[in-house]
Amino acid sequence: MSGARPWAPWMLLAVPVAVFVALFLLPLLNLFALSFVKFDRATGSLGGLTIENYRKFLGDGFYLGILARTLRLAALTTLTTLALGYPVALHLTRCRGRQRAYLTMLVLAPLLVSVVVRSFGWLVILGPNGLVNWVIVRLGLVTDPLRLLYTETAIVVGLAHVFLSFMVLSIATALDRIDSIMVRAAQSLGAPPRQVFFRVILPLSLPGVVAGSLIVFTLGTSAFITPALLGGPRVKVMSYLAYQQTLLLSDWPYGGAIAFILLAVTAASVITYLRALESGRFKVIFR
Amino acid sequence: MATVELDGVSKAYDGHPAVTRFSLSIASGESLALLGPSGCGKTTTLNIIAGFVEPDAGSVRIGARSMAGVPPYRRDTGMVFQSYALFPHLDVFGNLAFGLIMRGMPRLEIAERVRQVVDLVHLTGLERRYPRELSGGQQQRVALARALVIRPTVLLLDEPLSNLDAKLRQEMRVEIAELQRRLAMTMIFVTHDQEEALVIADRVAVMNRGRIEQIDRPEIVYRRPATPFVARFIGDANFWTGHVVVTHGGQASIETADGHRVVALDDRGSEAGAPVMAMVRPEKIHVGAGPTGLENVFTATVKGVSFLGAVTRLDVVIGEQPFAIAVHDASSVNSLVAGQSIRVGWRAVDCLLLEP
Repeated sequence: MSGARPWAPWMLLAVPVAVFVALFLLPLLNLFALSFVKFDRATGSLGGLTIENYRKFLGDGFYLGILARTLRLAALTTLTTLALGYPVALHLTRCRGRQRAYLTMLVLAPLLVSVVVRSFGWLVILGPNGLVNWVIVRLGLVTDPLRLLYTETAIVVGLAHVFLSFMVLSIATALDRIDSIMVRAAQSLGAPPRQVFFRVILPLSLPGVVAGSLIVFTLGTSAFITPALLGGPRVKVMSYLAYQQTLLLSDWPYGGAIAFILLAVTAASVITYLRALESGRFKVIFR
Repeated sequence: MATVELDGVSKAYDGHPAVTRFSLSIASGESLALLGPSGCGKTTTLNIIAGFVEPDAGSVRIGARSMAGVPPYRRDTGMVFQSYALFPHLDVFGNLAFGLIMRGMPRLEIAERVRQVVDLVHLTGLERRYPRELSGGQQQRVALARALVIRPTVLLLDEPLSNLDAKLRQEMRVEIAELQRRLAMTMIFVTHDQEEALVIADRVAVMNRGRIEQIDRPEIVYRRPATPFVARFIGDANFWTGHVVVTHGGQASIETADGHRVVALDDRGSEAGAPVMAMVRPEKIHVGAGPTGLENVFTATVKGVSFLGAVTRLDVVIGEQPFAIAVHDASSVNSLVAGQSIRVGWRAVDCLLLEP
């Protein structure tokens, strides 16, 4: 193939590459350039190069707080999906045939529902007269309904609900790849089930945990609709802030700067995380 | 004293029997080979001893302790797996220390024990390597060392050498046999390779369809196979079916189905008229003049000569009956051509009677 027509693979790639460049890369570069442009709030006019947009963000505790919250929510969502998803993945890999197919469908079910509908569902459940409050008030755990909506908890719940699928499938894939003979080997050396899990299964499934964590974390930092609906303007995250600056206040340069700060920080977190794994105790399984 | 005892053990998978009323007793310090074709139940037997498979019936005792309901991790067996099953996330030291950590041994003692076993199996300097960085032979040694280091009551090996190339396999055979004798290790190993069984084992249990056909010292299993299956599985064998005509002084005279007379050793007390199979090993058949006093002498027709290195295989027929003959001196048969008539013969003591 490559001998006769070396350009053939590139021809096949040309269309998707063109779409990617035109619809994603160019606007992104445009936004990046725009983030260094001065914006006059009074007149709404653009002009002159500046790093003021970045200085404004990084020098203001309010904005840095939003960045910290965004990372915190993504991290909490990752931990929640990990804690809930690992046992599910473990169970999934022990199921066979039809049972497994049904369980996989169940895991994927949240993805079948539109993100808006899903978030409205949580609005109803978490609201002052929602199911959760109704139950805990009736049980007498609290006297007045708790404020669950428009909190960070609500955002984590909403995000974890949908991202759980990615975590479960990532871990299940890694668990599937572990040779069952490993379990026997550990048992023959005197390892009871607990030790088999913590010393063999868990370390060998780490690639899946890592893949799932990366997916959930990056999706979590950039999520928009769920935090916007369940957190509202009171519990702002980076994506909401960027939206507010660009579309509500027309400050495209500042919105661009916010978007790029989020991108840079997320990328840096991911790289730090991967570096830590590559030099960690089980580095060999990531090679 | 018996270290491992199986009594009437049976196991079936979906109604297909894998092991049927299996009984076996292995003495302390003994090495036993479970030998048989694939599907004969030898690996199932090993897994029943290790505790990975629960038998449907019968009992297993290890070190006089009943193993009913005892999980694999409390059986004190060491196992070497066919695929080695080394932990890929642990280095050689980590793999070797695993079983000792499970036994709650102090760190210093673990380091010392690992150092000893590393010396024993010649892995010095490889402690910090990961399994994927080792050759097949080195991985095999780690697998062996990992099972040895815990000093189990019984060491179980499942086709331990089948993934090595021929030369390495022969070296490891001898090495395992030596180690076993030096450490006086009670050992049960599964193999389909008869040579491996003969070299390593004190006793060989030849298995067929979930049962033991014969269990004895290797040379006896070879020289005095109890059944045609054993004779065929260990070494090569020629069979001639017929019935006993007369017995006299530990020998029997047989008339074969195609009307020949064969004199054979009869140490089982056959009765006249009983249907039997006369068995003679290829290397026991003499070609040409041969020594005098052969009780069985026939005229055979040459079918072909194949040079196999140390021996030359000569294929002949006596009447319609095919025979394989192993000749050590190739020059004596090189000139033979197909269709030629030759004289072949064997002694009565080299001819066994087996029940068909």
